[in-house]
Amino acid sequence: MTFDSLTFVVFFIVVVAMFNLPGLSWSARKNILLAASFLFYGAWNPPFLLLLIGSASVDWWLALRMASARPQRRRPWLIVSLVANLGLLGFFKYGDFLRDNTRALLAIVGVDWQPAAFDILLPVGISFYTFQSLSYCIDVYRGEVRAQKSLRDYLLFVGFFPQLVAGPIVRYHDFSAQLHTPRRTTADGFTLGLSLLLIGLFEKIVLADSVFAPVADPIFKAGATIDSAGAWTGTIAFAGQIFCDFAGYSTCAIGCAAMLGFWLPDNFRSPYAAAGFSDFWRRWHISLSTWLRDYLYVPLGGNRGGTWFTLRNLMLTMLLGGLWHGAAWTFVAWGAFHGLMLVLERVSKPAIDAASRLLGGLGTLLGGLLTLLGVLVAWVWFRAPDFAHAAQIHIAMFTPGADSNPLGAEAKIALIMFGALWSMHWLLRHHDLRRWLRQRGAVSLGLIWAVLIVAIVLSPGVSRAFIYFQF
Amino acid sequence: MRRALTALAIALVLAGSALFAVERQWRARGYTPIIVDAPDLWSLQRAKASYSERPIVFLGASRTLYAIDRATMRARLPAYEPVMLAMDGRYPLATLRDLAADPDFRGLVVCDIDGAGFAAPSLDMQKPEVDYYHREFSPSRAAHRLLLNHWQLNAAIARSDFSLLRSAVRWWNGEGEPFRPYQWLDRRRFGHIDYDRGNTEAQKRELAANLERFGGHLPRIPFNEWWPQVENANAWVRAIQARGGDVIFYASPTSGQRRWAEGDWFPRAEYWDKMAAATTAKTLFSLDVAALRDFPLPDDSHIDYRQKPAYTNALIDALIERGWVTTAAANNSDAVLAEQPQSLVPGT
Repeated sequence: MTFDSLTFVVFFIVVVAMFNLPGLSWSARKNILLAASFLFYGAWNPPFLLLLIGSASVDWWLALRMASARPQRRRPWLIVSLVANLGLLGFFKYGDFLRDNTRALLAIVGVDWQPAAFDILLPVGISFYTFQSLSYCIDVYRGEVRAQKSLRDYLLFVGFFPQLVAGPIVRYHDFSAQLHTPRRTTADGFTLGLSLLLIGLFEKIVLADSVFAPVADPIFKAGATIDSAGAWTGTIAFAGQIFCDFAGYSTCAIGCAAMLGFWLPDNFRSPYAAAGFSDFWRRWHISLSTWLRDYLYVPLGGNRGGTWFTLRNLMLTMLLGGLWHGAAWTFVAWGAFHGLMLVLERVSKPAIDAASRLLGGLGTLLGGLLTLLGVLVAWVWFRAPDFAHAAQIHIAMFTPGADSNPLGAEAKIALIMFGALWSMHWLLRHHDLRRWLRQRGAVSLGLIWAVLIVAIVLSPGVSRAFIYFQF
Repeated sequence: MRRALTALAIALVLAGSALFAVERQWRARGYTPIIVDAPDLWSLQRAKASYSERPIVFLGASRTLYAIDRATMRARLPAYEPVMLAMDGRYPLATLRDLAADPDFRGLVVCDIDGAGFAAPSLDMQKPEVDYYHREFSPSRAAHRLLLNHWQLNAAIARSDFSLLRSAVRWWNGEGEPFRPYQWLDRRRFGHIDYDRGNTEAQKRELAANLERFGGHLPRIPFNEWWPQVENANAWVRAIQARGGDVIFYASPTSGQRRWAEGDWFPRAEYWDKMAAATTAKTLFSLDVAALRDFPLPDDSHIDYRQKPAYTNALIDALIERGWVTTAAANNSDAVLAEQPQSLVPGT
């Protein structure tokens, strides 16, 4: 089920109504939420619900074993959990990738291996719920959280439907307290949640699907004819699409949770206003970047082993972060580019600091524009179907020719809307959207909701799956 | 709580008024609600082909999509559940292949196809929808589509032509009002064309231009390149027949220059007749049936919606005459199907 479907509208109204039925115990409310979460996930592909339940149940049991073992005996249980989770992810997400690359490697040494095609269907959200469950097991291993004794509560932590399929990736210590304290829909939560839900749907339906996707898609289609203006416009449109698609989903998720009385962490904070790549990763997909920091970068040694060690860890983290997004070398290249930018930024930090002091606010703006340029260049690798296509777009971008076709109205509108989006990010770069919404009065809130509803209803078109569902 | 309710009331009143005003404005200009075809709508019908007790599935392109009258089908052949899987502008072999691979499908397929439909470039034309059905269609999408059908049947603003973006683009480009469609679908994907509103000459002009471009004769596809797809299709037919279903390859009627061009492009004796002799499917060439051969076709290819019942009756008559369908009700039709001949010479 997706937030932008009519099915979800009906589903969510029923869930909110049932969750708030008078006289229900907190345990009964949690049962309702768990049943709703299973229905939400099962409505996409019922058999994969069993996979979700099975995978989460195994982690729950392993964590209990870990918690009951002496500290020096916990490691085997953690290894089982790592193997189980990463094995599951590897099979469903990277099976074809591994097979194709093994075949290519064997071909280099003269072995002709023709394995059968797997044709594996990727369970939606597997990367998200696997990482969420994995972080819980690692936290229990480290002794940072207490193991959850209730399987129902643990399944609700992993399967809570607002964040189940595309994040934010929630940490157990952020969610466990919410599982223990009875919650229900409050006036403040309803107002904030509905505001966020409508903003998220606006981003997804109006901006991502209606404005940006039709301009971005043709450029990245195999066999597309690409000129300079088209390459830039398509790339900028994709930058708008992926932000509005993914941030839209996260905003909907946070909004739905708020309407049920739950708090989920922010996942985006005006990322296109980032001044520098480290700043970008503090603003883009925050729940993943902090996950990678805490469970990969720091265990690798972080910045504790000297400059070269730190730079190596940065590169490794970003390479694996790229691979997390998809089983293709283009995603690894995207991660490598970001890693390289982080390395360069770290190496040239003294010079950057000096320039910032000299130029002040202008320096921040220049840094922001340079970062945006780098992020745009990197998106080409993220979206292109293969290296050749990405190279073709880059060549077109950086060799302006006289043969560029004039831009159509759709492309011009997409550029204007991206300009507006970028301006919003700069204006709100130090602001918290939730706080801003809480400060609105009833009339201005009503006006905002009305404008969003009208724009959403008047944007029927091709319904596109959320991009991050494939990750 | 007061703040939330006040904001909600303001939003609903303002948004409702604005949307109602936009709806009224388009309706005042003569636009009406229509069902918009989409992969979800097709998938709903594709699912029905699997779970129906005895489906009669119509495959093909626009000629079938806009020609079959569902009510006539239901009345004349009550044992069958009509399912429309034809797609505008796309040949149907990918869907036939999919039905053959579906162990739950045991129905009767009426596959509207001509010589070009068996050519290699036509093979995967319907594959995107087939892939969507298997990889993305879900119970949730089905429920969404059923709800969307109600919205599209009742609101003209559900059409993407009236979206904010399309309106902005039209304004930017100085374009006129959106296209007024003269063809439409019902919620089960049975289509209708109103030639009082349509341009009957456009298709004729397109064909004439194509013929002119190729010096009066469309370039033929060599028989040895064409035949492998026929052999593949025959394997799919046998798979369906092995489960108790059946397939009728049906060449629907054309007229005028189109009839001449199709005969010139894929001469019947060199293509269709050889396919008919080799396949275990039943074959029906409409030119062999007087009631179908002389059917009025305003653009030489499609049927006006007012003629659909008559055309569907003529097709049913041809099928009954050959003993390929039963007019019995659902509960006693098994025996009639069992009596069907295994293979028939085309056109007889």
